Amino acid sequence: MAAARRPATYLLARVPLFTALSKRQLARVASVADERADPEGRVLMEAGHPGKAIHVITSGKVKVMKGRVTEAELGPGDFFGELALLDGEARTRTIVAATPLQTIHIERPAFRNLLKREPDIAIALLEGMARRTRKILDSPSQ
Amino acid sequence: MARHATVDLLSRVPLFEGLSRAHLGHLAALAEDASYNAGRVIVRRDDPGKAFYVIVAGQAKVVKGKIVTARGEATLGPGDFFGELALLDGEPRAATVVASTPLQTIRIERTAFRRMLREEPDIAVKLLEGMARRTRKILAAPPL
Repeated sequence: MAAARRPATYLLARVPLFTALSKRQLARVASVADERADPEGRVLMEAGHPGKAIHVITSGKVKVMKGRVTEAELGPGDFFGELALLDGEARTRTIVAATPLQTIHIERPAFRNLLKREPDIAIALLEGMARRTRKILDSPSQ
Repeated sequence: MARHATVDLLSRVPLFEGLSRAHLGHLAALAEDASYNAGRVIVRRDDPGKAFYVIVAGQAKVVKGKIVTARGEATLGPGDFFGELALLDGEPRAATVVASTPLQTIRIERTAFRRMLREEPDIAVKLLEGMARRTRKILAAPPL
């Protein structure tokens, strides 16, 4: 479904983790992404549980919650689970669909398999992460 | 330098935290010994980053710029390292490093490192995991 993949590629290109990837590499990452629809109120990620995927919102909104407090709302083009995709660390926030929601998501095992099959993608991601670390460590405000 | 001593040195570098001894062994196989006389420039600011260094013996001075991963320390000694991020991104050197005494280092070249990652993608995946944890840590508690 090449036509359906195009918007996924476009959305993924905006995630900082993927900025160092070529178009071809982004398309490979998009090929392991799935679309999903969730009703309002569905919990997508739960604080304390291991992170299993990155989600990019295609339509609708989610609430980012710490306990019962809503800290933020995210909408189309926003994403969550970026670093969890790499390290699977426990979530610190709960994410709940605030409206009917459509996302594309990439599951950690599929992503890791892709990286093992195509190490050039892993190498490009490492390059991007290094530049990011440099930028954060170097920024005078830190 | 003996392989196990190289493995020990590499295991203390943040980038390589989380690698198994076997993975560290692959990395150690790429390390070359490099010695410098006092006063020699080892890397020069703005030159492309082509290698990563760990100091085995002696001391080095950071002049012109700072090593971000060393928190701005100006003197480097045994166990200290530089060029860690250059190994991944090849960006220009952020500082000049000069041997202030006779200096022994181990050096890993970026080209050899990348070749190894292509052959051992499991190592690349592990490194990404570590970089993600590190990004998390820096964002949560930024160093001063």
